[in-house]
Amino acid sequence: MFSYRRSSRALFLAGALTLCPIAVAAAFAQDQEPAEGATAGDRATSFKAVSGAVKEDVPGGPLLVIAYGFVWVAVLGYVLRLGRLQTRVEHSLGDLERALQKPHVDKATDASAAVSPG
Amino acid sequence: MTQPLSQRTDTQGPVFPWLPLLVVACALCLCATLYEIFGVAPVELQMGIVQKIFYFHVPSAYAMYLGFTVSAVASAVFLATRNERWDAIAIAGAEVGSLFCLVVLVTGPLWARKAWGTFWTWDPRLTTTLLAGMVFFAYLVLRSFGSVGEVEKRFAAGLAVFGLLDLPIIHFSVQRWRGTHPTVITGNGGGLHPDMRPALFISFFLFTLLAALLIWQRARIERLRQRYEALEIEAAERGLLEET
Repeated sequence: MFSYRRSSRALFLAGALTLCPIAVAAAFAQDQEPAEGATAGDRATSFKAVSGAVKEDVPGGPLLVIAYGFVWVAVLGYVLRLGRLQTRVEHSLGDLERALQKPHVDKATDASAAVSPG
Repeated sequence: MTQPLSQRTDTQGPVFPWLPLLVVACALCLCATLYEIFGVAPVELQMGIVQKIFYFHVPSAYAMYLGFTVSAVASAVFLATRNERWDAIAIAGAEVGSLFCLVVLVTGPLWARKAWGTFWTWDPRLTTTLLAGMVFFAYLVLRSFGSVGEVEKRFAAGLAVFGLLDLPIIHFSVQRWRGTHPTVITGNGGGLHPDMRPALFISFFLFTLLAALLIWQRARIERLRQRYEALEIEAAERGLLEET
């Protein structure tokens, strides 16, 4: 049965648990002092193309490979997990459906009839 | 008389005949994205080659928004209607959103190591993204406790609805608070170099398609699982559980 009271209670509890960390995080983020001499305008607002040969102090290649590798390992891993889950659920469901469609004697009725004095 | 559940088909997952076509479209899009990123888009002037993480990082964040929003909206509808179909969609959205949140939280620091010299900083956008991930991770943990009862389902749905509140905070945090996170797309700066745009747009399309496919497939499996649970009750009532 639909219960507004229970739903409101669940929403209130979930809200309290969610909003408290958000408020703390917001306060914490606002409290962060910017680096010395830094202004809000210092952050990157555009990406420009390099012209000529590329020179880098910190090689970004390994970081790039790890990032792209992680993305596809994570996505493929999740797809494999879904595949396994689907196979398992379909297998169990098939067994149960076959058992339910099989003509059978109702054990509970039989049992109660057997013990019944009448 | 009510038809036995074992003879009903309305609790089965929907069949989607275009699924193989969409999977092929996804694979083609992936090839096009990789070609655009590594073959066409130029290397960035300040950050060098590591900036190419941006083409997967930003669309992943978008896919995360998509997953979490689907989860929260479906949870709200579930709370109002108690229709199990919406609960299945909510679980699917939360799982897929969390997957892409993880991708964002791993690829971002790898980019930051080169750009900022550190893997992590308590920048408002990073902090609020981590928080959203934790809220929906809590949702998934709550739902993973074996056979979940009505109370747990309602509480988890409430958690997802309130988790939605964090999404606009993530989005506007770069504008409202001082931080170091780039504002290339949402800011008023110079934006992207024209040769970088096609790679980003195709990647956005790819991740949208991927997220939608994963949500749909996960929701379908959850519907099958719900049918299994319902049939299990029917089997128990008929005294068949020992046989299966």
